[in-house]
Amino acid sequence: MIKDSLADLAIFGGTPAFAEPVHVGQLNLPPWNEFEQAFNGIFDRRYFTNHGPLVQELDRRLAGYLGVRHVVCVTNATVALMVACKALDLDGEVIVPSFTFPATVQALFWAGLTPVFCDVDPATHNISAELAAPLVGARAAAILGVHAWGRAGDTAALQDLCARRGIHLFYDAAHGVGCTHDGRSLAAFGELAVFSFHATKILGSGEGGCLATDNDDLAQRIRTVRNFHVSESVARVPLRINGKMTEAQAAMGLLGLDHLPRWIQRNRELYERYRTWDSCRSLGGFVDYARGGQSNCQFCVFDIDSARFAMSRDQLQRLLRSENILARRYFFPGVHRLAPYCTLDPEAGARLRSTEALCGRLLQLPLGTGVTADCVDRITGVLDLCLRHGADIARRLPQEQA
Amino acid sequence: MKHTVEDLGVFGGRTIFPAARPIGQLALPNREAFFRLVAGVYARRRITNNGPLVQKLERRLAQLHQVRHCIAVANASLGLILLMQALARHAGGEVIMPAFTYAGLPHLAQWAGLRPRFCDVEARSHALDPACAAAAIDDGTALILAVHQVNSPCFITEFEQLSRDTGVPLVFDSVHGARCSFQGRPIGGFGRAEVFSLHATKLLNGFEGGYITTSDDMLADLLRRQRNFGYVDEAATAGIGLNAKLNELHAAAALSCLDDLDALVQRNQRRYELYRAAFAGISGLDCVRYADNGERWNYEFFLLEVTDAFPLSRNQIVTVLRAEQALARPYYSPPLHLSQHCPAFIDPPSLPVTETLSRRFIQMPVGETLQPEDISALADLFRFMQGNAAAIRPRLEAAG
Ligand SMILES: Cc1ncc(COP(=O)(O)O)c(C=O)c1O
Ligand SMILES: Cc1ncc(COP(=O)(O)O)c(C=O)c1O
Repeated sequence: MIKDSLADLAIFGGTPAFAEPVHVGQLNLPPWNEFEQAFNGIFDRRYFTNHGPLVQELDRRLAGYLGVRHVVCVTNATVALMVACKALDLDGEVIVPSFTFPATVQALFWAGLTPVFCDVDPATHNISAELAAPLVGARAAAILGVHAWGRAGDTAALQDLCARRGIHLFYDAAHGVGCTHDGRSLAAFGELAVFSFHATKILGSGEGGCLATDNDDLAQRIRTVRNFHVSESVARVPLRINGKMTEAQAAMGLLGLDHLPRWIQRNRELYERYRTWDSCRSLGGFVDYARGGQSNCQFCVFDIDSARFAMSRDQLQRLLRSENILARRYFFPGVHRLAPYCTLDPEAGARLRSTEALCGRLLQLPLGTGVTADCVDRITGVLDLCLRHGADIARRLPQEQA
Repeated sequence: MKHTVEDLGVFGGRTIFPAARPIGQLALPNREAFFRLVAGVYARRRITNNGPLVQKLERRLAQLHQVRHCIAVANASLGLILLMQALARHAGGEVIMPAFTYAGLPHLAQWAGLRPRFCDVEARSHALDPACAAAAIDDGTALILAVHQVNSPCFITEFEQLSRDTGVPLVFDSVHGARCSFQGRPIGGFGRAEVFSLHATKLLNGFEGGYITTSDDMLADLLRRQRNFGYVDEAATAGIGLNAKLNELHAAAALSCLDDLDALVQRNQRRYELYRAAFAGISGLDCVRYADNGERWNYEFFLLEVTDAFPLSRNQIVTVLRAEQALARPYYSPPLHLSQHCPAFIDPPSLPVTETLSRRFIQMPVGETLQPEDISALADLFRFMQGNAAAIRPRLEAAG
């Protein structure tokens, strides 16, 4: 059904556009027969974890796919970031964007490090050397950049800055499997990069993540940090953890790699369908992947221009949710607004202007396995209606809580 | 059968076992049950983030342990980090723990922002000695991490009393106390909380995984948030958490092992009894027993004690065994305070009981892949070592 009057909107009593919730997040799964075969293999071998054959194969295949010498798979990307901090033997302050998922910063806490929040460039949504340079103080140990949406920022300038100041540079590339920058995978930037295989990401292993690096010594330290085994104590490291990936996770990752090109292609088609929707420009626009390299297009992030759109981003989100379109504010809020940072430095927002602005504008729309071209049309249909009647809707909506 | 010393694997002979005989359980999940559960995961497309299988596993484990809450986590190590950080009396304080235990514990205390404080164990039980712990408690003590040993719960009554008297929170590492009881009650319901592992080598196989049991509602809420980045809702966190979520595939495996758990314990007991019978006549060896006192045991390990009366040293025996593909290893040796796992900022204390115990035991192959004839073959090998020690010893020493 095409909605064309306000009364059709679920928030005003109409039937929701979707009978079942439509989620953001990829949730890609390999075909069932492949799953069964892989898991029968695991049960036959009776090898469940501790650097098993599938984990080793996944490490190898990812290294090939990402174009680096070493990949070490682990429990999840948060653990990967914790492992990274100890493998790099960091101590002191780490410059990090506030415009990120909380785990980027939380990993620093567990590793005993102090985050220094850096604002992002509104054009790339990432930190830049220009923004980071003034934050590099005497206690700075590293810069941890985030390739938000799998788009790289100012990598060369950051590299220069870190080299000049003698500090480490590493990246949270949780979003970045299948993305490139200057013709290279995101694993090519910084001393190491961390990727996530959480189910909502393009390549899923249930939970999971990896560290990728070209540095042989660093790879040895990473391997040592992620477990307590005597046989894997190959380097001197300050601290260790159980960060082992299992054969179950690795099996999913390996099957996923086979299907990855197809999944990326699908994302691209759906993303293009959103992007070429007629009224797109009059609402704001979608975060674009045109510059620099290829994208996995796993995130359909809508940037709402409130000057042209009568409803607030949060009102629109609520309206979409009532249609069973589970759009998400992402990233929201900036990590500087989360506990405990919001009380440690309540004024941080003043320094993080672009972060605050992006957190107030972006809305992530469904794009993934559960989404078809028809879903996209129905979603943009609801958006069209909102565009035509924005002012009316905003007036009729319950007042937002202050 | 070995006839000459050259037949030993360590000297180039054919190994007794064609494939490794591991020291873990490696219980096989029921395949049918597993695939049925995962078919549901496919239908729901819900593969993590506190999915229905995780919740079901938590309900069943809470029942098993007779506690109000079970909080599943990605592994016991991450669970211990979260629990220690949540309960520590003050950040940066000391965690009282044994050194005759799992290598990870001093690391995990440090991830939780705390410092390990090693205390000695009691000789008969191998468990943390309450008197040594009490002597170590001062204002800097943040937490007591008592560890149940496979052959003995860790002085539960004494430690609960000590915790009440001193106000120092008490948690148990119960990884080796799974399915055991104390005074008729399941391990899992003592202290502020207890932590278990779902690692494949443990009783319940979830590939990797773990869970925390507690009857403290507030603590359970906190841990549930903490394992999911501290989120209280989509846009707010109540503190610094991490990702310690168990995924649905691992939960499905653990659920598919649960119905077989008691049968597995019975098979373990049977293997333990076979071991005891097979090794009964060999002088110079003893084994760690599971007390016949009406309590439940999981019979998860077979621990051989090598006395001075045996003609080869404990480490020499382990070398010979490993070369035969019997992946035996020295039990908790070296002790943590004298190992690479002791943090550099600690002056290793003197722990006489721990140091003595750490020289004595061999953790022998166990678990579902070990056949009755393997146990006889191992006993034969020990008899062979005993009979030919004079020839074996110099060659091992020469090999370094
Ligand atoms: C930027 C970023 N970093 C880190 C993470 C944490 O990844 P994981 O869920 O694998 O721990 C995420 C996950 O959403 C993320 O988006
Ligand atoms: C006593 C003890 N505590 C904790 C652990 C850690 O468990 P996990 O492997 O689930 O992290 C182990 C694992 O062997 C253990 O033996």
